Amino acid sequence: MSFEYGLYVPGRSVFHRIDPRAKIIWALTVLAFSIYNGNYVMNPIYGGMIYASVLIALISSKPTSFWYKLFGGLSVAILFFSLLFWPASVPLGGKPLLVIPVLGWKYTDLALRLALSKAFLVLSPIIAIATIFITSRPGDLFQALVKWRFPYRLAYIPILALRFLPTVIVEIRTIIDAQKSRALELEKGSIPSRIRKYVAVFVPLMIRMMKSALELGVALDSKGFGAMKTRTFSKELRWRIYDTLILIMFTALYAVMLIVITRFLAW
Amino acid sequence: MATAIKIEDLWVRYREEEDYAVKGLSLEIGEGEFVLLMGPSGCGKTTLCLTIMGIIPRVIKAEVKGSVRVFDLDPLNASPTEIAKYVTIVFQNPEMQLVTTSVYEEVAFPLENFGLPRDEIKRRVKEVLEVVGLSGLEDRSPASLSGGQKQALAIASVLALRPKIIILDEPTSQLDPQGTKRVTDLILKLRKEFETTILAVEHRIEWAVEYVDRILVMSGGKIVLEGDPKTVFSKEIKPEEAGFRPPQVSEIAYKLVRSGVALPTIPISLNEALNIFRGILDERAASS
Repeated sequence: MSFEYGLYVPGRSVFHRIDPRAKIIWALTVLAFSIYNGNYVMNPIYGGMIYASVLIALISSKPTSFWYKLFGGLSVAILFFSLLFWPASVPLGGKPLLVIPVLGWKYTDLALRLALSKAFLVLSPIIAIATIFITSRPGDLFQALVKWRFPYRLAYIPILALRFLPTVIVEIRTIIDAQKSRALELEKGSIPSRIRKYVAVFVPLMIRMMKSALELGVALDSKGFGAMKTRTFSKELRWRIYDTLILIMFTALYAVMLIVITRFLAW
Repeated sequence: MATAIKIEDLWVRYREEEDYAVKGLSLEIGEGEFVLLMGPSGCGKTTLCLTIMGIIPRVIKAEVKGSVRVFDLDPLNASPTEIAKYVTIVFQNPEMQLVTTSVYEEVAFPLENFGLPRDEIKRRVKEVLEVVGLSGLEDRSPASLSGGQKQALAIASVLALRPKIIILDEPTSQLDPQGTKRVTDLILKLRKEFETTILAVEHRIEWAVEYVDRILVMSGGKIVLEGDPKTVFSKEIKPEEAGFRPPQVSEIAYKLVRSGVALPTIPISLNEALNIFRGILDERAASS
């Protein structure tokens, strides 16, 4: 995967066409409902539904297979560790379902509920935020932040990081190839020794990046970055009724689901 | 012809260095001139360019003596924004100078920074992309372009501001012959259409020798040789001493002269060499 446009994957899905500001508000809504559920309601079915909604948003934007693998792996890992450690670390009452013999960890129905809710609390906002980056051009995200009165010099820093993602990946590959040709065996040895070997990749990368930073600074200067207090945008973001409708739809969905599930499907 | 760059008795010494990188250099470049700056690595070429840009001493701290004028501006004491309107630099590696994720945004970026009206930005982006031959690639990511296209885009992006002077730091050193030709054509177009003054730092000469007005050869922080390409290469230049190679045809001519062949002039381009050599062969054929 080359990350040509940073994290952005070009496409024409519904999410691609929404104003980035609406997407940011949507992700914050997901975050708010997830926190509320994960900390107060702790209903795994509701958590699972929010998780399903962000998954649908992600899948509908047709990202590359890299993202499916990443979030598939992440979901399995977080669910696994959450189920393993939450019940053990928080003593809760409830009906015991399973007891681990030697360690004495008790898995009750309450513990299971807590573990699943916490897992969804972590997963849903991460996927929602990633969906923003996958479906928005970095330049549009920049403009969204500027429209919200973030100082544009600061708002451009994360955009530059996205822009240089492909450059850094190419650099890392070049350095790894160069070091391998000098007999550095990155794939061999124990995990600590492999980590140590990566120092030989990390140090040259940092030095190269620092050297390039000066050129980048001069380039920004000669493009007049920071020249004016405000700047124009040649392709201006326009908030449409469509954006408002989508936001209302999602918020209503989360609110109605919350009411229905807590009233009628209380665990 | 107005004076674009005027430097008088310039001395530059980097912090914690004993020796000066530029030593009492004086120079004048006219508006619309295409000048090539050559010399071995470490001779002060880049230092000179960075001083003209005001990056020395504003960003890179150094002791600077003497005077530098860029039209009516003193870059040593001007803000980067003021300088950007007059003179701009394109580095050897275009990668670090492309700061957005699409070709269109890259060219629009400086114009947006200066707060130009939207319609004006769209018009200029279209115009500049046509000049550099990147029309139709507006939505492409800079990362997906070829080396020559990236360099053209880096030039396009600073060109949109219509600077009077463009400094090119080894613009072709990372390019293949096709990319080099693209940059050469672009430079010729800039001169013709915008009368831009161009100062290019180079080690390779072939691509520019036919078009360049003047060559400046630097060594040890000074200009040691100056003149049009014909004058500069009329005397033998040894690459190991000068730090750059003369055109290959001139090198062949030097060898011929050394072995006793009388040449009317030292050729600097392939076509010129062909004519000279053909003339000599014809003469010999006629006399025998």
